[in-house]
Amino acid sequence: MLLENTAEATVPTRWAEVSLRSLKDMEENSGESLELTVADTGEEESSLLKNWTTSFHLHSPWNDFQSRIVKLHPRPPRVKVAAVDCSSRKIGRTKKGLVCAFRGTVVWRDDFAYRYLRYGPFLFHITERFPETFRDFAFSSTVSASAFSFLNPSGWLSRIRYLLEIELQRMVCESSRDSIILWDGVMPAAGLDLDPVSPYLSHILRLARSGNNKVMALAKETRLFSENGGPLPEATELPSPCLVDVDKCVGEVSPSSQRLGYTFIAKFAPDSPGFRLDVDRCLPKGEMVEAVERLLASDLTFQGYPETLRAAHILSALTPVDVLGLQRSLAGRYGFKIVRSPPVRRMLFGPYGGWDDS
Amino acid sequence: MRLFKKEHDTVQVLCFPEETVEKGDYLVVEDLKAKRSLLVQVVDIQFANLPGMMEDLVREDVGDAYLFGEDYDPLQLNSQITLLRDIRILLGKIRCSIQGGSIDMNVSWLPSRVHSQIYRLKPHQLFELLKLGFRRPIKIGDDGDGFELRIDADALDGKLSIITGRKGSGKSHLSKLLVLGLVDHGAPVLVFDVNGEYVNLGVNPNGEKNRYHDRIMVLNPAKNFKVTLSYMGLATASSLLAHVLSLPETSLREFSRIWKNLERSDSLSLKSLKNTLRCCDLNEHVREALLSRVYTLERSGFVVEEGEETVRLEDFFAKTSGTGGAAVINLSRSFPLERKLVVEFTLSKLVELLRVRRVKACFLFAEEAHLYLRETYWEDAVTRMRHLGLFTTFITNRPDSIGEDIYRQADSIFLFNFKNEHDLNAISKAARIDGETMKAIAQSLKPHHCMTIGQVTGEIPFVIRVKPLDVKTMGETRTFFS
Repeated sequence: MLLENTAEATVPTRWAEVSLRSLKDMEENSGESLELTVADTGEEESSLLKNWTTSFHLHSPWNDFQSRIVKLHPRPPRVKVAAVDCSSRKIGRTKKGLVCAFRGTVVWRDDFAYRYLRYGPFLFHITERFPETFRDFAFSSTVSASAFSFLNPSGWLSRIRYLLEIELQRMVCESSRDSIILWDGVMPAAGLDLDPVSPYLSHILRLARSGNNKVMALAKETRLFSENGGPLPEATELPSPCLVDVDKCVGEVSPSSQRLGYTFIAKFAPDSPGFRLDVDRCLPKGEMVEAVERLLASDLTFQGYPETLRAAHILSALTPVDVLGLQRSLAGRYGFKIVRSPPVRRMLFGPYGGWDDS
Repeated sequence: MRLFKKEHDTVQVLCFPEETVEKGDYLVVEDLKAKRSLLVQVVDIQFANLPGMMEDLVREDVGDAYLFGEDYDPLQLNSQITLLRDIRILLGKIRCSIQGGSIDMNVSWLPSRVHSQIYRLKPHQLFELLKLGFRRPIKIGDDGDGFELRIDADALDGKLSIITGRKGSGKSHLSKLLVLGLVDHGAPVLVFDVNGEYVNLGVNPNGEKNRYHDRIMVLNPAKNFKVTLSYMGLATASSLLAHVLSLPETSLREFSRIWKNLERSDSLSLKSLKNTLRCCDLNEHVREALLSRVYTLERSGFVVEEGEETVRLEDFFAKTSGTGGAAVINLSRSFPLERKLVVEFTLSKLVELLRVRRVKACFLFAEEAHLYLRETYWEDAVTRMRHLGLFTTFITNRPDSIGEDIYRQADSIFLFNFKNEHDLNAISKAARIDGETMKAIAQSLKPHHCMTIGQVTGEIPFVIRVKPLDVKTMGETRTFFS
């Protein structure tokens, strides 16, 4: 078992406790209507922290760009690969706030198969009282107080998901040895307002290094722009597998000294669009490349995306069926009447009211 | 269950996994505010197409192939999600309304989605609602929960019925139940038994005589069922020669002349008929034609000389008058031509008896009638014969052997399982029910379950489990291994 040396049950137990405490509000107010909109059950809430640095500009000419390409060769022996991903969905609105669901998954590949541990779904009722509820729990000892400064329930949604994700990341980094650990998204810069949990991430990366693990984060949506704003040569023109060192390009957004990851564009397969890859910055650059080559020898890729991370994403996703089941569960448990909110935007603006019905 | 949609006469109902509903079941959509209900028969059950279901199932399948793991679900919410995968949509056909405890055929209203409750109506409750089986009950089955379902013998009286289904589905079984049910109510029944399946109706499964024993008469042609020419009469004899033995009309005219001469001289017999044909002044071709046919009659063993032990149909009717009884004409050991002779004789004689009112009425059960019934008799059976008092039930595993016109005139159809769409198309063209219902239900009927269509169940189609019979029902099929 990947997590044999840690009390993996503590994560779900703690989250279940917070969840139940937040849902207590509902018990006190059972009978009120739980209003739902189509948008609530539609697109997954995107996390600022996952997307904000996936677009960046290259200021170098193309010739220089080519010199940044590092060709990769899968490097045996195989090592253990683990990946973490989480997802969240709005389930509905109450008079006091928002009900959301979260699910997290850890997937790892050993010699024989892919294995997973899936946590949740956890339901949270995010009301004005929720920050107190949340702060009282153990997260406050590890995460900066500013992490709880959002009062907007929608802000809490991505915040909670991120916290669940880093909880799972910590668990994996602490329990793994000689492994490659994949995170979803990017490694943020320490000390930024948008990322108040980055000091805690530094701590997690230290834990990982103490077990001789190599941590890397892979962002799904990556866009590169040339100096004049035009598109770069297609990623398909890059050789594969390869890395393109674009760390300096990201440096314009945040100083490299503050960033936790060293940034590459990774193209692992000919049909791959190329992904932003952040590797633990504290590793020597040679080790970074070697770690990526070990990853290629140890994990399958699907369109250039590591299978372990893909499985983690698939397993943690909350589908519309999940949302419907959770709504029914809430209605059954707390006696809510599920009401569909009128599609105001659609009513006002017709087909110009956006793609969502909300 | 929740009311989801209504289009034309079809209703869609959302059904949750814990609710058990099968094809053919009846649902009541009760509008609590309007205080009336729609009676809906489930004709198909489908999975609800919830958004994202495909992704969910594909995800699971991907996992099954190469992913192994565990779920930590401390709030136990996954069970609710899994439940959703089995939500079904029931497609139902609106049959009638119920208002004030009575059936109302007005279905031009729409129940409320908000104020309606939906529940399953058990067949016996519906039978009670339709007041079926109260006058002259015939127990034909149960609703699967042990409640007996009865139809009224009156629903077969003066009516044309069809029992059809594929081989081994239980149609003969139901037919026997109806025969005995009619006998119980004092009715005379005649059975054309091509497979020798009805010959043991008077015997219990253990071989002992049962309460029907004295009321069941098994007639084996050429053995205990023989007739003389004088009993047959000229009309019936001419009918046999013309329709079964294909005697040309000119020869038939000569035959009538000779027959009448013999009758006048009071010397009508097979022997005198043959002698006369040999000696009288006749065209040689006509003589040959007539003689060959008379020899055929003689060789069949069914037509015998005066003095031998013979059967008179009116005796059977006299014997069963008041008590009821069934005459089983066992055609299983007869050659096709003999079979046709016996059937032609019986029907012709029966019509004659009915016409002169020597017999009040009779129920006829004709198994696989296409094997022995000539074309014109089909129409005769459903028109002229019915008016005279012969009420036919056709039993067949070849629905296309019965003409579309016959189906149109059928008052009741007992439909057993058919897998073949061609068979169902043959019935659905003219049956008193929409083809969609018929195909959807008939294809999934279990053995010994039938769908009743028509007057027998008050024009409300039912799925009935046919009850076991306490008589020896096996036919005389010879087997090698047992």
